[in-house]
Amino acid sequence: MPVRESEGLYRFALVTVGATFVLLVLGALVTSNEAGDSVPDWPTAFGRWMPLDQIVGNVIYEYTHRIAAATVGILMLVLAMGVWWKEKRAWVRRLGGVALLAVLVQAGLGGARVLFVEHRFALALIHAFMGQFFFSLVVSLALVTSPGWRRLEQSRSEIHLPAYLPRLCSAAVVGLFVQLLLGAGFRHRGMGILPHILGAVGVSVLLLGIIWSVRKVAREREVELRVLSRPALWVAGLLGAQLGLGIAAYFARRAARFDPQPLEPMISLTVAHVAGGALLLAALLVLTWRVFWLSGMRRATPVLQPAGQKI
Amino acid sequence: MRIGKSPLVLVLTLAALSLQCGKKEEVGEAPKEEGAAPAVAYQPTGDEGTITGVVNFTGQPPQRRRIQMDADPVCAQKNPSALSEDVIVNNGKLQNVFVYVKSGLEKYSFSVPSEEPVLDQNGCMYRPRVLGVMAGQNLKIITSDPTNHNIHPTPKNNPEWNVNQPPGSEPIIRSFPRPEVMIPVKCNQHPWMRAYVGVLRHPFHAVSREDGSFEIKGLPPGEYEIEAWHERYGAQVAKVTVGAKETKQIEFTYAAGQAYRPGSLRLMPALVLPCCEKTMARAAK
Repeated sequence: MPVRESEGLYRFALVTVGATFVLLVLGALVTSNEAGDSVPDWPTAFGRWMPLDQIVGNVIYEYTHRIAAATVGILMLVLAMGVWWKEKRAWVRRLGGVALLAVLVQAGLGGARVLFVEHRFALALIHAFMGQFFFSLVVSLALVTSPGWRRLEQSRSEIHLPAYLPRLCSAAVVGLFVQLLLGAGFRHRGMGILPHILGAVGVSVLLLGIIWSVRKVAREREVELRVLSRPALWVAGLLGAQLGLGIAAYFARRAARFDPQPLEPMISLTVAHVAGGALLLAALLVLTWRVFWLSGMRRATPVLQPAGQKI
Repeated sequence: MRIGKSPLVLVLTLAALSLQCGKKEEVGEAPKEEGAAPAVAYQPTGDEGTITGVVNFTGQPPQRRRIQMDADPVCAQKNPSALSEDVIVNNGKLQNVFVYVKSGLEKYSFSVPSEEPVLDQNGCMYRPRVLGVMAGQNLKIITSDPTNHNIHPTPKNNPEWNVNQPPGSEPIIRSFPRPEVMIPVKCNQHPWMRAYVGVLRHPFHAVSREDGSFEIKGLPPGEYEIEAWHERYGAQVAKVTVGAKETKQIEFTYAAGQAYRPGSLRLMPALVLPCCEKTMARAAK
């Protein structure tokens, strides 16, 4: 498919990414405001589809989250259909199918979280994980349908990446998912903060290793690796922001431990930390996809770019 | 790219573990200690005694915080000056302490009273905040508010439920089949609403009043462990022997610096899920 033809699909994927990010933020607001069980039934709310007269107190968070989830579900359905019809790459079509399946599973998990209160911790944990997992799938779809990715695919440019870099990126993605789980466990009051702190240390080491490797490759091979250095820069910036937000959110939560209700700044800091985690995951995924692609290309035609040439 | 597979396996494993840990035991009779003699139904003899007492508070009590009810205008209008109720100290006496017989009554069983303690939702607060019932005794939940509430107890040893109660609706009658001290009850629509229900296998409990006083009547003569439980300052135990027709006086004293840290903020035991604490305690035993 020519680059220009795929732009419509790419833009729609970007809209879906944006909507999913908003949905994640709304989900974090539900948890931080302790609104998770404010509507005891599902899929209806208080037995109705539009209970506008009963949206009081915390119900606004839960109900808005449900409306946003339905919107994302519809967007994902349209995106999956678009990918199925327009895409010639079978693996991208499959990716669209997996993302559609993931959003359906996620909707079911959201419902189960409401209906099976006895298992609320486990279900909340899986729901939080699946939210980020679905987000990562949509980000991946947007990336691989982007004109930039097309250009990368069509380019004959090649660089030698260290063999450990793809493995390091994979480990970082897995580590970040685990870290998101541990954060959700703490947020949902199911476990202490220590696993999340240890996870932060581990993930930081992995991410710093990746950033250092990308810089090293660029320096040693004398190439300007924009395709990797840009997302690496985003990863570095977001990692710093996440660490700061995490520390601030923890101390805000400690300070608020005897508050009669969830209050600011604890709510905003916690939600910002969750949102930062999603953005960090997105940046890392972009970097990882590109590292894997470039590593795969190396086997085909090893061509080293001269110094200063942009990739 | 094979990302996503490993986290999925991990999350499913964690979920399975958590679901297993969260599994409530079969509802039925209260658990009996191994080797314990079968309890006999207690018949009053006229020799019953009484325990009275007071709960003191030393030091500077935390200032009661204003509750922000703006999220629900009905609540804000009905209860415009609501204050936090987790620590209420009047003249050095602590209110809302649940005092009950922790041990000493194992040889007896007691019939479940037919009266139904009432938990009212009034001014978007629970009234009373702390109450006790017997396992199997009906709890009557009513609402005096012209706004929606959901009632959501979060027990560890009893079935959890979450029910909506619109204004003007019929009372909700529920019971907890197993003893448990204490069961937090909350309204997720109004997150400041908290109540605590102590579920016992006997009827001997009291809640400290505004002046910190409490009274437990009708106790068979014997040696008892009396526990005082407060939502923020934790539990204290006192031993007391009650003779025939005797009234014994005991005192509990809490200090301002004793406030414990909520479980979710603890650093350790970091890897112990609250739902698994009982299972792990059994394993350790």
